[in-house]
Amino acid sequence: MSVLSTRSRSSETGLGTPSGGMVEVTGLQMDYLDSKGGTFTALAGVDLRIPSGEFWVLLGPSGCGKTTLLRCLAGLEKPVKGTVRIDSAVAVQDGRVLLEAQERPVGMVFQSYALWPHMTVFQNIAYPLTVGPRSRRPDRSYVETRVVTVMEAMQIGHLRDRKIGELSGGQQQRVALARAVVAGNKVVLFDEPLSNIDAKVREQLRAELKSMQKEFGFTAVYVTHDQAEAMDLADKIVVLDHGKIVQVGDARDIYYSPTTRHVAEFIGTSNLISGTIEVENHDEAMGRRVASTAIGNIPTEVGNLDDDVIVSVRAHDWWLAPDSPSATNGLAGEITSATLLGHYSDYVVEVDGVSVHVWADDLPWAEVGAKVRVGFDQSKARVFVK
Amino acid sequence: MSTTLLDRTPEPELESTPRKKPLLTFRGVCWIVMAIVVFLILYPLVRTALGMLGIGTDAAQLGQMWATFWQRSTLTMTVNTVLAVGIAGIGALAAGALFAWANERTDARLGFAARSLPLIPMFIPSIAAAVGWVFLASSNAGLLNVLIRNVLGTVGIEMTEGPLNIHSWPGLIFAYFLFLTPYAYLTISSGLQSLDPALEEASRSSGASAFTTFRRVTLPSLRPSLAASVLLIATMGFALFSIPLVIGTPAGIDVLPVEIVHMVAHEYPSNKAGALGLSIVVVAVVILCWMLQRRLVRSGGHATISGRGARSAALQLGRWRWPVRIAMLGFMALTAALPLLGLIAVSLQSYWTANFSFSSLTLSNYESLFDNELVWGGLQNSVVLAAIGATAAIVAGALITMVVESRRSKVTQTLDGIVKIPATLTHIIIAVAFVVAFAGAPFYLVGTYAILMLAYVVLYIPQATFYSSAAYHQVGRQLTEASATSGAAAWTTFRRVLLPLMAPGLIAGWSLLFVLITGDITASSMLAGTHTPVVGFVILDLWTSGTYPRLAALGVLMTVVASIVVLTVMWLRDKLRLVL
Repeated sequence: MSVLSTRSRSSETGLGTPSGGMVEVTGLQMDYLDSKGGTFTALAGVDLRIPSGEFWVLLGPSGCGKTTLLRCLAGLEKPVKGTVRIDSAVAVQDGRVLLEAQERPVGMVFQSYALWPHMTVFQNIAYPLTVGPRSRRPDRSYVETRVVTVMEAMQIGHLRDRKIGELSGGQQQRVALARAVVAGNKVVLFDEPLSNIDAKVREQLRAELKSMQKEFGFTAVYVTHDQAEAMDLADKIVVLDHGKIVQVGDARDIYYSPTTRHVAEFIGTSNLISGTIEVENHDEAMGRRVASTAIGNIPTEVGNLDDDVIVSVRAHDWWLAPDSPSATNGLAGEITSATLLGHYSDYVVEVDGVSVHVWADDLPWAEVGAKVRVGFDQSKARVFVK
Repeated sequence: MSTTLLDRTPEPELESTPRKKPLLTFRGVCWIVMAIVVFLILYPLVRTALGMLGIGTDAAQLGQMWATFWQRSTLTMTVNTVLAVGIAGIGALAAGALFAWANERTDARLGFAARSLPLIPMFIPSIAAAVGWVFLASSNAGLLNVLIRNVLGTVGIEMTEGPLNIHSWPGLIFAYFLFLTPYAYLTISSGLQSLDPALEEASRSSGASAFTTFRRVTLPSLRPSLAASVLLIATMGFALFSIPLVIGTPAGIDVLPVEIVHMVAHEYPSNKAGALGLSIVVVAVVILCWMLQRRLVRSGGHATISGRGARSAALQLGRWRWPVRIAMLGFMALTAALPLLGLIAVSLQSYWTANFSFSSLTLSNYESLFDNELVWGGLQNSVVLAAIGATAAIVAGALITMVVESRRSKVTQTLDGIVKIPATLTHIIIAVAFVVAFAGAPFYLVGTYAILMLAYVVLYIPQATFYSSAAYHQVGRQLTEASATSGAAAWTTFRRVLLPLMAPGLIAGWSLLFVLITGDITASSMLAGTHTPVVGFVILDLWTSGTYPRLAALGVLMTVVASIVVLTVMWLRDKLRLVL
């Protein structure tokens, strides 16, 4: 949709993949003092290596530490321990801050975009070129051509003398991005920039952002709590929980092969049913190891005998059929709630004392109180030790 | 393709130029200013406290201090102060709560009253209001009394004095009430503003009546602001000097602040030891109120939800709407309009007389303000001192805000608390401590402009930090962080992002500080002299010498100047908020 995404244009403006832009984090730890004098661990030993030019998304529920991690990269928070390396410069070494925020080779796009209302679009974008140490400030004519080049590349050249208040959300995003890359930063950090924007506009801005990242070739580190956004944008998704990285992978990995219960819970809607590890037929030698639950025995490789486990099955991996005396497959249950949600319906089915969510096509016969049979493909079930 | 868009042409030489740390960073300057202010606040207090413990003072002075403390008259004055502040304070709390609730939650709201009521003490200095009321309601020549007597005379009731007498217990309590109500209003209305109206609407839709809602939801949620209100009333009331001097002293009602100022400024040699003895009582009361407030706030269960700016539907008061409005307008007339009229009336006559005559109107009193060396000198000095003092205070306030807001830690929180001490511990105590600490060795600042200036800055630094931190919080945190990630150091961020965006708030704060300092009476009464006159000193001098018409003219002049400044600030604030 954006002209920027065409290859021909990229050669015209001299765009290409920059060499630097790697981000590396080892053993990063961050504690906060809470109001009662206790400490709250926001990051508990985070290791991360983001290769140059990739788009990585930090994903997790609020309070998981994703924003803290991003702010540690920017230099806006001081970690307690750990090392941060950006674009070959060591920013933090073993908890010692070597580079302050203003000395780090990163640009940042804020949640509110944080464009300064007392400056014009041009002044906002030119700002990073005019504030560094005096010895390194480029001269006026270079600033002029450089800012104009970036504005043209982002197609906001005509907004040059506008005030920030007169811009639309999409234009503000472009100005904020232009400001983040104007000084030649190869790493751009994004702090939930789309969270305050209407759902329809959001999808459009997302596409634009993605194409600009490909075009400009910067390394993007992007924080969000929205899994659809993460899956759309990311080359790699980093799922955080309680200050720790719980999984790193592309959208497919974390959707189909969640490594922990929290990832399964957070990505998509899953039914979580507790059970214990048993051996079928009580025969150690012959029987398979299974997770014994209210929804049946699920074959499993994980855990030891008698471990408490959680079995996760996604709502749309279930099927739903009318009950009949002859039906033997699946489990017998009763619908306790049926909600049409557009192109599918959410049925809550009571099975042996457990409620499961089943997402299926809208079925005219499936009313509250209907006796049904439900089941799922056992290979889609995942077992996690508690 | 030699260069890409992300590669800047003049590639910064990261390794070859080692980072040079300037000798004095912006953050360093902020901390130095913070240290100076903290010193100016703590040094006088610590030195005074040590003196009270006998360190650095001789035994005779210590003996005199405790003798004054145990005097019978001290007890009488304490009881007088407690009675006046207590009775007037309860009234002020009730009136302030009623007006705040009416303006924030009901259809009796009057926009201009809501905005100007808390600013009344700024429009009309307390001493001018008190003198105005003396002109109106003194038992012989009070203009209101004359008016009432003339009306009564037409129906055959002849009186030679009264019926009103401002120089009495009811008169004194009435004046305290007028003075304290705006402060009660200020704290309670800001509490109501930050209380989500949805909490009250939830109660109404749960079936509770308006009164039950007020009792079970609004009042308990407002406990922190009510507690703050009580603390503010008690400290303001206990340290109030101008009103009891003008109204209480002629009636023979002595209160602590008047006597403290008298001992320091009018006894020769200055009786500092006695003043300290009385100050112990004031400090004890302030600390007691402070502990009470802490208890009220800590017992918890109150809501601290910030309002979303969503205005709820105003409560319909029905037939009570106009009585409430009239009460509000009546209060504003009593506290501002009437005393100002009294001042104007007296200022236009050549002498204060019971028989106001339109034929003998004169402007000579205003002219004489500029002829009289003391008055004219005082006016000039006040303007210069206020301009410099307000500038110093607001700059210091802005830099202190940078320190306090940059990183919230125990250290910065403590420093923040210290900076607020002059407001909590009352102006009169700080002024006494200043006399003790700076008048004599090793500073010998007695009778200099320097001591006045330092005192003004210290007394009004809490307001200065309040204005600048309000201005700071109007600028979103992300706007400054965006500057840091753009490569700007702290000073550049301050100069190019924060300062332009804080400017409207800082200018407004400066103007209000200017008004406060020109109208200051507490520090001026103790620290100024005939060689270093300021307005506050001159006005007291005119009062003592009984030069009433000129005093009235000076009061009018102060009120007019203050009103112009405050109204401009209010206008500017509304105007700029529209632009931003």
